[in-house]
Amino acid sequence: MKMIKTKRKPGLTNEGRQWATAVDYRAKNKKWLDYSGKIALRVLSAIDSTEGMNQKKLAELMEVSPQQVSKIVSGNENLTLETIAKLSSALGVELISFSKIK
Amino acid sequence: MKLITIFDSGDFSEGGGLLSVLFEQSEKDEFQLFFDKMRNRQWLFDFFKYYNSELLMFYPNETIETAIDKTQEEIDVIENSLLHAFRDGVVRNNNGLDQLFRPLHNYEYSIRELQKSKTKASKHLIRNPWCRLYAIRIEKNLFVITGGGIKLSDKMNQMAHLNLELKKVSMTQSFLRANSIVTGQDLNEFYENDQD
Repeated sequence: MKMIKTKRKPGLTNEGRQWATAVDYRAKNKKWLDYSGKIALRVLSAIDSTEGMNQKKLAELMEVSPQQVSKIVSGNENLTLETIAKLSSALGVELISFSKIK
Repeated sequence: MKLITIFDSGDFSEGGGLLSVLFEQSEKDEFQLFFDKMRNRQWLFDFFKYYNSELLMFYPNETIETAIDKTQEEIDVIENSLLHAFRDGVVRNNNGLDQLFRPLHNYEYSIRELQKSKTKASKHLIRNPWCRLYAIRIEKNLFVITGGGIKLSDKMNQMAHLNLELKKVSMTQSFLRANSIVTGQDLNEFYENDQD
């Protein structure tokens, strides 16, 4: 068998590095990403249970692009309080709640 | 079909590696697509809504929300296991990836040429793991990812999306055979020539 001495460098390739970076980023930002995921799920559920509502309609009500809504429901966006409030108003549901201060 | 390298030991016949398939007309390779899907709440919401009867049949206490949370925990474990395997196995030439992947068919107890394989989160960490990453094993610590999905049935052919995964595993196996890749050395030679 012809043995080939390879010239490839050992380690993560560009594709692998992108993935590993995303894994590290997710670990470092887990808390807010979990919040983002929870909000996304509530938005999806509200859209699903409201007659006549869809992502395009939600985008119109919020005065943002459909692409922006698509990003929001992926659960990976760092949402501002302003965006959460807009979502809440457009859907007519509370997306976050606060416990009373003791 | 193209092969995309994720981890490269520099010599597939010595240190192994992890590759992924890129199907024609797809913008991303299957490894990336799997993790993208599993991290996308909309994709998961649509999936568990579509397969809600299967979810409740096998996991009667789960809701769409708890199912999505469980999926996130599983993906955390799979990602960390792969990163660990790469650092511990592929580079140091231990059994990193070989310890993670198992034959696709539970009745196979020996290593076969271009074996259809799967990996999932460890049962020690996740109860009844349902996320699967599918691959072809070429050699020790050398695998090609073909796709992945969520298994909510006893057998893969009981769910349409897993039937597709079965086809992708077979297509990848055929692609490797057609290009005479059955060992790490074959893959080294394949890479020396232009993949196109």
